[in-house]
Amino acid sequence: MNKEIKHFQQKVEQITIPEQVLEETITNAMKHTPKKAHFPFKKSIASIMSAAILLASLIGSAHFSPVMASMLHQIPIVGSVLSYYDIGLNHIQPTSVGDTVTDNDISITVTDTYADYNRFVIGYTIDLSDKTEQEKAALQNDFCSTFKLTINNQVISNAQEDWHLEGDQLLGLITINEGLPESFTAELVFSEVLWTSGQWKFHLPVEQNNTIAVYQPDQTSENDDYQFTINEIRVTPSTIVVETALTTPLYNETLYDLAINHNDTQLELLEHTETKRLHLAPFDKDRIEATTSFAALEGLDELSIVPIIDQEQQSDLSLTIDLAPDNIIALEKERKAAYTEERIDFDTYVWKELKAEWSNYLEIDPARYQHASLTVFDHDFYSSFYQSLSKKETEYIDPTAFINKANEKEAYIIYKESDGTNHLYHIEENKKWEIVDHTTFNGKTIEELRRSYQHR
Amino acid sequence: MYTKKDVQKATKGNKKAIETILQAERANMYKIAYLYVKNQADALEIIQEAVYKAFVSIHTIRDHSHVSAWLKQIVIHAAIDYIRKYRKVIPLIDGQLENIADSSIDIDQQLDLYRLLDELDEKQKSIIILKYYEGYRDREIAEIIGCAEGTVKSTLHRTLLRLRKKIKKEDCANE
Repeated sequence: MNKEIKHFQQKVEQITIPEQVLEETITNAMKHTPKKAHFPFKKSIASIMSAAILLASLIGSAHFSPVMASMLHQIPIVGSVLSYYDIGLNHIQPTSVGDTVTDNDISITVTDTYADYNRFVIGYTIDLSDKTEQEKAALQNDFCSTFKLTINNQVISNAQEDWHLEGDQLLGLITINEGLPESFTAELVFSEVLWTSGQWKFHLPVEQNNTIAVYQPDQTSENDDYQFTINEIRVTPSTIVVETALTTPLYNETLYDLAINHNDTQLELLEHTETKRLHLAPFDKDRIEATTSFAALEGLDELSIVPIIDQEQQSDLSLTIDLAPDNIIALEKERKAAYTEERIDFDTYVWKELKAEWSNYLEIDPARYQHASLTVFDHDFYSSFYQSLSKKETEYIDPTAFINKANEKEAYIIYKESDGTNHLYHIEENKKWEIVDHTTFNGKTIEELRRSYQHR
Repeated sequence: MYTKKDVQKATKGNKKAIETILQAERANMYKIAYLYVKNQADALEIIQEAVYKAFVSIHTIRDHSHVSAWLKQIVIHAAIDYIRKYRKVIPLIDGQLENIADSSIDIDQQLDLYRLLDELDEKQKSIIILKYYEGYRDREIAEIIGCAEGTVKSTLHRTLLRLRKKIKKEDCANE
């Protein structure tokens, strides 16, 4: 065994350090830190305070209100009070499930699910009554489960996981922050929990009972250097999703975020994703587009949306959005058609499109090939392959592979650049995998794929 | 190199001192990040996140001699967060991935701890890296990744057992 350990250490020592790019990464990352160190604004004091106040009032109410007591019983299911408390899930009506599966002496119970057009959450508990206090304390900081979640048989790749301990139970939450069909079947299969392998399988039919209100305010504000635009807002009982764009000076490397204020309260940020960052050299501008989701509050009538640039709220660019019913441009029923087909994530959609473009280009039967991650090849190959890709300034679709099912000795790797250029590598295994041909051909641009994905 | 004074300045929020420390530790930080993702682009993303995390929590350092271990801990948690956040699952027909993985790995390729990392989850990876590369004791590993010492021992045991089985399988196939 010592030989293996020594070999391992040698291999780690041999990892190539990209000195210059690493130095620049650290320098750039430091540039994007706040002027002064403080706790991250993401989980704002305001939201924690409002959560704490709300919880305190709920606890008080529970002493005399059976309805409140019932509601309070549900709160721990959807997140921890301080670190992961999400006010957006507080006033929604989850669907009770209560299914328990036991394997290897570990019982998992899916307690509740909740779905609206912005979000799907699954709450579960794991019984820890046979664990020592020390083991439970360790889980508080570090719990890891391995699970596979599918929606209508499509694998969901971007599920988030939260947990906290409550007495003898671990309370877990799995969240998907994106639109889903009006009714669908989710299947959740845990393959490892508490460092124990097994199978805990849950079949979860889900019906949505909520509406989504869509606003397209198309409002813009600007100052000398920046222009801020709100393109669309989608409001559900649990979540507010805002689509925005920010124009900045060229190559400014702006760190962009967003805040929503409502009656002196800052809504809790759930997720912020930059969907695009373009350098518009002819116009001497950069353009950043982002999708940001926040936990919703009840009774929202007006929102103040503020861009955060390099960690500073820009109140002069703040825009106020009136959420009056008259301003709603679409409700759930009108958008339903876009979601009635089986929902797949964008990556999966793009890979299907890439497969079609690749098979049309070579005029071969795609059914003869198996889609796979590059990690199925030996490490040296996929590592050197990634390293051979020059660092892209613009967006590109990650390389993916199609392996010949008949012999598993031949495969294609394809990736796409923003302008639609596909890079196709023909590879073969002869003791080791190696590239035998490389060509490029044109396909749909990433923007075209994004549009066709949204309008399916 | 950085001095005790740099650490003192850093804990008070001096950005230059923080960067001095991070640049001095960058190679170690990168290697750890790289072991989790095995590619440069993702490793650099993890470093970027770790820099931010280090910056916002550096005021918590009390002991100059613990900076290096503290930064490793930051990188490990950044790597785990990164993998969880960007967990990519490629839809494959049931069982195909395992079949492809098994059949496409040439039996004469050396199967070692470095390669085995690819098959481990984030926590198991952390334990192997800290134990066999960084040389930490089980108790120290437990403190760094926030779990019980028994968990470290059992994970090591299971991982090494797995490695031995693989080596045995490989030997049989070669015979």
